[in-house]
Amino acid sequence: MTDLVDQLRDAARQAGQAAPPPPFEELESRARSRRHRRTRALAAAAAALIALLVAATLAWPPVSAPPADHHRRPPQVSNDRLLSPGDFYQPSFQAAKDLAGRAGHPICPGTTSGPGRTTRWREFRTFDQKVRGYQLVIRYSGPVAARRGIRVVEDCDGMLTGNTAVDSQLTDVRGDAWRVRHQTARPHVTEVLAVARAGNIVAAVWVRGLNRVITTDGYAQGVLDRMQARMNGTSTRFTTPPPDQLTAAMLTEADARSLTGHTRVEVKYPAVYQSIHTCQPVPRSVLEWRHVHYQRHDWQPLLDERVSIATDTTAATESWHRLVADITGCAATRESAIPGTKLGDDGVLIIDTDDPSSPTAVVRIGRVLVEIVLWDDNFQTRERAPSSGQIPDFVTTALDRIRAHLPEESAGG
Amino acid sequence: MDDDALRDLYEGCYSRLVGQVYAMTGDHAAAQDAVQEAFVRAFTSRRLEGVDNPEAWLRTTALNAARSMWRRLRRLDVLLDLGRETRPVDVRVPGLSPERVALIAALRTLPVRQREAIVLHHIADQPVTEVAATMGVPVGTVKAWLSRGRSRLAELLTDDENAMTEVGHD
Repeated sequence: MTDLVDQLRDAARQAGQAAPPPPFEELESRARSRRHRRTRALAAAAAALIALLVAATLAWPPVSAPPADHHRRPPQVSNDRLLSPGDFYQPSFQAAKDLAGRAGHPICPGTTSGPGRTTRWREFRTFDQKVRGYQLVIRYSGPVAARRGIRVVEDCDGMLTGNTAVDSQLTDVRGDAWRVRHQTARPHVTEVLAVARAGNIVAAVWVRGLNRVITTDGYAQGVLDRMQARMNGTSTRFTTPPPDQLTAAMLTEADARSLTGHTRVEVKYPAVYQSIHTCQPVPRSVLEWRHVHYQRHDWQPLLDERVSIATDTTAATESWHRLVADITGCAATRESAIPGTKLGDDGVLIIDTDDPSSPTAVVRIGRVLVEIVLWDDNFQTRERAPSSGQIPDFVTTALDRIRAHLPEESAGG
Repeated sequence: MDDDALRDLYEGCYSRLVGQVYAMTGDHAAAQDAVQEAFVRAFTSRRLEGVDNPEAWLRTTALNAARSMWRRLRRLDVLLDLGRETRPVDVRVPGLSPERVALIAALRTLPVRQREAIVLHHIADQPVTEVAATMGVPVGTVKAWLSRGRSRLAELLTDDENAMTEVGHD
């Protein structure tokens, strides 16, 4: 038996001797790389955990939950107005909450969902982080919308605000689901939240702009009247204001042709502002002149500052707009009344370039505010102002024509 | 344990550990892999700090690593449907005579616990009490395993020699 054990030991010893150890450094290197892999794996796991926590936090339900019976509340299909006209001109958070609550959609920052309905509130802030407005997006599923007697309505923006200039793509009507998404970036309406229900139409409005526009009962009444008219089928869109309310600076199609020298001129949305689209192609770009006339509810000119220049943030385009200012002989305004812009130290308006609806340039001459938007040949892409700082000749020419055309009291000095 | 001590330990007991693990597994290459894995684990986590008997720790770690490898290979065999329950012993090990290889092959026919007891006691020179502690069984059990294992091994080797003799007479 001892011999057997000795044989076993000898076999193990021989097997061990037959396996020379690899260099010590080689094993050390393997250990080091394994440590590194382990460290990296731990770091990746920690990062994933943090990302998961952040995502979970962001997806957390809103702070204030809707009332328990919120989703089951039957729709009010009578023609009673839940909003009084005065509600429209209090663009404060509390007013918005009150309005929304009365309309059956309490403000809940974030997204709430109910059977067949999704409500999302979104808050907009200005450059200095002040609350600028709120947006409510309500999406009903088709069956729920039908059960509630909600009609699928296109272009609610124009109906509610009197502003058909709101880009149509911002109002989504998909299939039988209705989603109203009011996000007018046009600078001629004020920021206000209005959640209105008239008859079987439930709508939410978020508009922004000049606080001074919607200041009277007349405007709010007009909005509700338009809603009512739309419901009754007596009005499809808003009407042109009476001729005596047009100001001298508001242009006609003939004026537009005269100004731009183009024969193909389209004037859009005459009730709110004149828009002159010169669709005549010019080399490499098409210049769109929007002759924007700001109106109060009573159709009086809102602005009386002499000139404001809106410009891009880059120095090159800023200099370009300075040239525009020189051409027009105008001074800069002292305040920025245009959404998506801020006022620079030198009085030059700076356009928020992140806002796709911001114009390439805005030139205000007297009571007339001109938006300049450069498009490409196919009207697909907005071009920013030329980076070279050079004013295209057609811009200079058109500005000259505008100055020559405008009345003295409007053109200012 | 500093690097110099680790190096001394490595150079001093690597071959010995390979022989012991080979006796347990019957696979020379796997034994080397297992012992190297044990050293890498020791270097990676510095687990030998405060260990009274580093060689015993390395042996246990290497045997565990060998078991893990064996399980993986067994699963692979099942997946590939090779239809074998035990893996073959290396019939050619450099520097090892055929008789010694046959001895290791005979050892592998013993039950795992008996084989482990024999390897730890007779090849790794661990006292019975230490083997019992390592394997987590009473001392008497270890003694019984050793006795049965040795007897069975002697029978196997005797049968093998007889078979060889008979073959020679033919």
